[in-house]
Amino acid sequence: MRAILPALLAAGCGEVHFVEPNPPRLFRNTAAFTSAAVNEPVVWVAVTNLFIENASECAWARQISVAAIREAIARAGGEQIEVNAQDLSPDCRRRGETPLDVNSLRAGFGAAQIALPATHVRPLIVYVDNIDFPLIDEPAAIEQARATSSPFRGLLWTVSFASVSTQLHADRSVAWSYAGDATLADRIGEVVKAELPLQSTASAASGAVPLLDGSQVDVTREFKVCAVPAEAAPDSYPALGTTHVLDGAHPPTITFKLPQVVASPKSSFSKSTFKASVEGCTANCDRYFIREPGADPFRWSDMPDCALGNQ
Amino acid sequence: MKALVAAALIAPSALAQVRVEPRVFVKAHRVFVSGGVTWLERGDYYNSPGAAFSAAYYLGEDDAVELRSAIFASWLGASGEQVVRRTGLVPDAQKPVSLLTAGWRHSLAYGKVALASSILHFELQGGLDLGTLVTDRALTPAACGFFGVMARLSDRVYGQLDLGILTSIEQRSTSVVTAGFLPLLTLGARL
Repeated sequence: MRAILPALLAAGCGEVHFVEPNPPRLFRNTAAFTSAAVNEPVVWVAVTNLFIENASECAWARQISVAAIREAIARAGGEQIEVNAQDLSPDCRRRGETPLDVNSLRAGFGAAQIALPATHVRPLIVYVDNIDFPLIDEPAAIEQARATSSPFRGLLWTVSFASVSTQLHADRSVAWSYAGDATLADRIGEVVKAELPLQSTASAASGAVPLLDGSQVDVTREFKVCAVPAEAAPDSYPALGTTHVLDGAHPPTITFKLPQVVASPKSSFSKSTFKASVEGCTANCDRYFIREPGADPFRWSDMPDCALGNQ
Repeated sequence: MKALVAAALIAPSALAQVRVEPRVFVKAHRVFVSGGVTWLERGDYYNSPGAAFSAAYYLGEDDAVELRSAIFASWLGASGEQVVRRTGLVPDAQKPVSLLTAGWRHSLAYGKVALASSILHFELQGGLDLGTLVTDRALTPAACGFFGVMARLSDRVYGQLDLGILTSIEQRSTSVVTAGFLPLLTLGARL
């Protein structure tokens, strides 16, 4: 009997934890900003290098090819400037008979930039070639034109055989079929649809992004900034790991520095989204927060980190 | 050989002295009611003394059905009170308010003992009750298993000491099964 009584007393079980009867009323908010994009003008030039057996069809072949390119690029909309086309085989008898006039291209693109001062002009060179044979002089000249005709490296599209587009390291290529191919405009148009207009990040910074929604500002007494991305501008937001008393007249904000993407093909441009998380307290902010039953209690206002995020 | 003969002569007389008395503490088909004190101890930071009442109807000498109730005057103990005073934190255990159960009681053994100049007739009993432990927040399902002593004090008066284990399911920070020690000391009468 003596042994039974202590055992029975010890049998009192069912864990008892001390809890906060008036816990801090907390909420979590994520302030997000997504960068915007602006369209850049399409400034382009056609460079033809055709071999046509019947010389009488040379001009026609060149014109109809350039017309197809023009029609396709027009579908991109927006501001467009077509720089004077260059023909590297004027009578269609010998490929590369006339060298590419890089200076002329540079002048043309420069003039376009002057005409469109508030934009970023990245030149687009559309090279048309109907011979499945390696080029000799043209690659160096085209590369020079891409590299030097604008502050931004020019884009190169080819309408050619694959061997030529590969040799020129073209950004995009459309297969050559035959002069006067009625599908050429549509096939180029598919590339246009995917890549144009070129896009740039709309601004260098996000501006002040509110960390709390309007309705939250009305009820929040104190808040903490829990996490910000690396793109957050220093000193543009309340310090991390500190409890701040909300000043309703000056709600907290954050500014993000936006990585700049300039005149990028549409397919490779992506908008950036930045998020900062905030924990707000609407009542009992100096009371204890207990993460889980049995865990140590901490006064929320004294905690160096956010409470809800680590649960 | 002499010892064997002596034993044979003595044994019948010794056996002749064994007598079985009729049961004095008779319970069959009678109602017993009692009241007394109790204390629920379940390690919940509450001191829970209380008053207990029970009524049992004996179907025979060995088995009875019973109703039992208790009312607790619970208050937070000194250690819990100190935590509350210093931090404002409170235990998540619910404060016992009352207990209401019904169950079965069984006599395990009957005996008597000489106390001073009197003879005390008693029974060792055990049983199981099911019911509810009412707390300050909810009605919680409860079960109580017990062993005890029921002693005849006079022709109509009896005393009873039960030592029980009370279990219940309670919603604290999480839902838990609680167990506590529940001694009951009551004094009653046969109706």
